[in-house]
Amino acid sequence: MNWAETARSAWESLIERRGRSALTMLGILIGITAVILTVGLGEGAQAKVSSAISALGSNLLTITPGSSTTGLVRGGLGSASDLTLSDAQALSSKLDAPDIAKVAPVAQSSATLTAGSNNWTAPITGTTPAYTAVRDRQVVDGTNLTNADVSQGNNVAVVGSEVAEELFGFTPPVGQTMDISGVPFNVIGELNTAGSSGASNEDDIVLIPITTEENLFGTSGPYPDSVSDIYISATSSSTISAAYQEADDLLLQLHGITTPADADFTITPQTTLLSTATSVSKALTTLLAGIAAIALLVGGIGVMNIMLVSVTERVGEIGLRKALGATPGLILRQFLLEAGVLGLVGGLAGVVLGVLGAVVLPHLISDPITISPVAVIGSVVVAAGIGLIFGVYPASRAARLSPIDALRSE
Amino acid sequence: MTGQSSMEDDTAQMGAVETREDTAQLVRVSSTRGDPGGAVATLKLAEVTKTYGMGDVQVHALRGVDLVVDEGEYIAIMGQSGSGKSTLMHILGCLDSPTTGTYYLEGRDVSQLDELELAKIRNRRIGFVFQQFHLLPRISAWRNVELPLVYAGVRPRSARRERAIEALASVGLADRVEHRPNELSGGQQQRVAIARALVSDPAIILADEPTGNLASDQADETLAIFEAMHDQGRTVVLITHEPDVGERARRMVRIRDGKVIADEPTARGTSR
Repeated sequence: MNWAETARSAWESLIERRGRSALTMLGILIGITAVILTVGLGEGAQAKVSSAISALGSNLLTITPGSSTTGLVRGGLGSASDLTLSDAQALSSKLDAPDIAKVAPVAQSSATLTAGSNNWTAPITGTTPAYTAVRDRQVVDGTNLTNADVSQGNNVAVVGSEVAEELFGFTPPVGQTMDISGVPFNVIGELNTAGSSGASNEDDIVLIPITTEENLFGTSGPYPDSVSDIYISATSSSTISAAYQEADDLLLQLHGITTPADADFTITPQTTLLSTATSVSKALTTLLAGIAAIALLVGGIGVMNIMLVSVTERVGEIGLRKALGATPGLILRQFLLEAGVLGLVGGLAGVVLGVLGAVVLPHLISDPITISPVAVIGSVVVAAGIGLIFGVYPASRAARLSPIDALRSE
Repeated sequence: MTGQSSMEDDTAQMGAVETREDTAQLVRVSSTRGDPGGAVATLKLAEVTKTYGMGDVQVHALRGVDLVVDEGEYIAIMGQSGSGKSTLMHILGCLDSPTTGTYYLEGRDVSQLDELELAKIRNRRIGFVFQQFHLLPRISAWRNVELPLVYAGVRPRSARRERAIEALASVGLADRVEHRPNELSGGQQQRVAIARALVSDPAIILADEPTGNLASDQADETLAIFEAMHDQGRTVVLITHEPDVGERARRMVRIRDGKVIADEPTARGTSR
């Protein structure tokens, strides 16, 4: 009796009990669908986060005020405004920091924008022309801020696509006027569409000269020219650590700090952010997939249960087959294969439902779901494997049945 | 107590067996069939006992049975229910093993054979016919009949189908090939089961109450097939509790309480 004949026999037996087989497969189906969707959700989130983070500029280093190593007296990260415009100025020096390409100090506030009858509240970013280069953004229409705008404190703004749409609809924003907290600004440029990076929407943004921002909203810290962050970009991806070192040395020196552990600022390379975010979403995926795996396990126990019932029901058939010359090995193989087919068919159906879910669900929950071929093939293999593993016990029971006990039972 | 009585039985049976030798020779000489298996079909039980259950509740199904069946014999084993005749049949069919004693099938000590060899013997050398037919209900007649060939590894499927149809035709069911068991009468079902027993061309046919569930006309048809199998030279062992069925054989062995109490030729056996 070869495999094809055993498979035919297994298939016929499952068809014979189709209602029960379908219910058993449902258990596997739910498990596989859950695994595919949770892993897909996790991978989707991971891809989203990492693409958003690398969209920020891959050679980017972010300097934030406050220390990451919180001492007894020092406040937490970002609690103090210890970064100033003159820090940014110093970092721009090609002499002191040759590996730093661009420096963009940033002062953040939030304000109501008005254009005609439209209102919109958006984060206002006071910065310098270098911002677009450092954050890897492009001005797609109009012009960027200029150094003259910064030194003169001009009331000009570059807007993100979402702000433009909210305020001006489909009219091109460049050349229009809008009020920021009641002060009129000329819109001189529009940024490219960048999407959202985790919590912040990179298209809901207004760039104005940092000097104008400070005139308008006042300083955000104890010093007159305090800034909330300084973005710097390394000259290339290979000089990120050199740029990091130069910025660190320079700021320690400027701030008069001798022990690096006492630093009142924190420099975070983009890669660190990326790996942190990735590891967080990975952990979440693992957790969800673990829960889904439990569902799959329960499905497997369902297979074992139904196979045990099947063996008990078919004691007579097993005895007859043995009397006609079936070896224990062949009986084992037949029942194993039945269990395996239960798992396999349930798994295939689960993949179909999972892929369907991956297409439909993102429309409902606005999260992307990534279906990787590895996950699909893997889950089919796992489903069949689970059928086989949980089929071993019932099948070996069938194989061990004595033919006379089996024949007598009918 | 058991020991003593079995000793007595042994002596009695030894005598009986010796007187049988002559008849066996006659049967062997008169055998005209083309030998299906090639080897000499001999069943030989030596002081076989079978005890079921452990501890306090023990059932002594067989209490020391000696029996020799030669190639081509048509033998009936008669006994009331509980006499141990079914146990005897299970041992003869290699479905069960004796508690003590030895069973030689075609000269081989069955207790020395492993599970695979036993399965092979059941598959190639023995054809079983059961009282309850034991057909698989969901598959057609020919699929039921081909089962032994499937386990024998006969390929391709068309070859098995051909042989299964041939076997069905030999029991007069050529027009019932595609019918399922529930579409057939009891007699037809039993004939399907007989076709299944014959399909691998075994030297030995073991039938356990083959007419027990049949109306008398169907029983006659069935017994006629056994007669034909005997004429083909197969060894036929028929287990029954009905004397008129037993009389169809050439030799009758009566058992009671797990012991052989009589072993003699039937009317047909002596007239031959």
